[in-house]
Amino acid sequence: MPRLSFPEFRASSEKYREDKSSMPRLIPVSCTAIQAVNPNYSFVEACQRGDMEAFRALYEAYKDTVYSIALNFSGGNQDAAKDIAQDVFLKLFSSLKSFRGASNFSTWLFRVVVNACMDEHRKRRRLVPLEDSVPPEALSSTYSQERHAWQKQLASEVGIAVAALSPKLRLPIVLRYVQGLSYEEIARVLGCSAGTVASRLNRGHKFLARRLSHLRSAAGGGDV
Amino acid sequence: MFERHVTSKLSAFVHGQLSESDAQRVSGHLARCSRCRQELEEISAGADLAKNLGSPSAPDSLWPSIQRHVEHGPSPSLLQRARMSWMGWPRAPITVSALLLLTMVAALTWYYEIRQPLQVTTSVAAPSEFEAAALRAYHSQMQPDWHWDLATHDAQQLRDWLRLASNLHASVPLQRPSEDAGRLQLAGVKLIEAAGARAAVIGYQVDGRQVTLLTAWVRDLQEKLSEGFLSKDIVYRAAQDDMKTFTWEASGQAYVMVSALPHFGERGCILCHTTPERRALISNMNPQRKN
Repeated sequence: MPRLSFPEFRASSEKYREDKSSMPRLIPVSCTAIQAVNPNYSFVEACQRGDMEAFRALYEAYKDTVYSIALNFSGGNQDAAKDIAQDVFLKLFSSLKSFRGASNFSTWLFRVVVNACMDEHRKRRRLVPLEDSVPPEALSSTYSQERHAWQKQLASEVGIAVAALSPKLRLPIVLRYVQGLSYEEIARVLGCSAGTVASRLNRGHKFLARRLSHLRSAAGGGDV
Repeated sequence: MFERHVTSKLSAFVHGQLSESDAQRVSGHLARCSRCRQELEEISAGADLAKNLGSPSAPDSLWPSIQRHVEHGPSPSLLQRARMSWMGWPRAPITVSALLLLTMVAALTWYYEIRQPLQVTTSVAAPSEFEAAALRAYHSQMQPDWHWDLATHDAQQLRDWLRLASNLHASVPLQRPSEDAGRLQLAGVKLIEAAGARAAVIGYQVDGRQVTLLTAWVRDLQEKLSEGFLSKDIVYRAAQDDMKTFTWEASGQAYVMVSALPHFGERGCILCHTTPERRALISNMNPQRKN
């Protein structure tokens, strides 16, 4: 990098802020929940100006994404999931003004969600005994009423088992199976290598297989 | 001839995340190895079960609570309101005691942080895993394939991005003294995993020389670096090729600074320390003890 005088590098950072071409497009990446929406960078600009309508639209685009990650991370604890989702969107609202778009927006959003999940986990670990934190009936009640009763029970038990994983192993499982992120995308969100993601998924899969061995024949095969 | 097992690649194989050549190699190995086939069966079963995780919709009640916070700020809970009234206790003695306590803490902080010269311990022991990660990051920055998660010269932008992306704090001041003009420049920040923790690599230059700062929450590290509240024990190590590392803790975060700057790299400290008092403290650093 060329060596700049103090006024020059101050001016260059001002130019960086004004350089709209550096702002990213909000590209839905492997997220079925947001594929129906395709906001562009001017949308983010509107939020940065404090436009509540734009923020509401951003919320509508990402609310299910954020909430589903939070709920699955919390093992079906709706209160915890709502706290996490609320925290994420409040951070989004307060921080969009300083978001300059040097990284992909969805990666940035997922990182905020992951951090909020970890913060909530640390907070609740101090307050709530682990065995009381996952009411089984809450899990089955959150899923679609159209699902077969057995599938609801299966989803409930899988959710409880996932909640029993350590956060480090739980997050790759949730990001992969709830949001369909690739290993590279998960690695960018978690700040680790794709190899580490693969290793954690290995351990997570084995844990689920052993913990839910009584359900293995009922879960069925197929594409993952 | 012994062949390496492919268990570490099985989840990626199941998910189709391997390259074509790796997938072929795994397939070929599975045809010959019953142990890996058993592992594959178990991992596939876990993957099939995990597919049943749902994607529930957000409840309608979520937006009103967010909107309320955005427009009016959070309303205090009953417990908070009770705490605000100090639960009926007399306020004056509590206030005076709190002020006295704050004054004592401020005095102690001034004494230990400002008045005392920094104590630097020279270490000849092998570097910790966290420190080794910092050294690797320093060298990696020189490679052409290195890229920052956020490339910026702007301290405010770096601080905001880092806080949101990782909850880590970068005490990079926004105002700099005139003597720094043209001599210090931020390069960017990148998140990595170091010693089991999420860590941030912050790159900058001082007098045209690369400096790398690695930081992570102490509580997330899987090794113990140093101890003691208000401890200002800075571990200095002379690595190879004139490189120096400084390791310290502050406000719950562990730091390693790597540079080839002369005189123990103290010039590298001007990134975070901008007052004349702090810079005088830094210039008094004098490695004495050895371990």
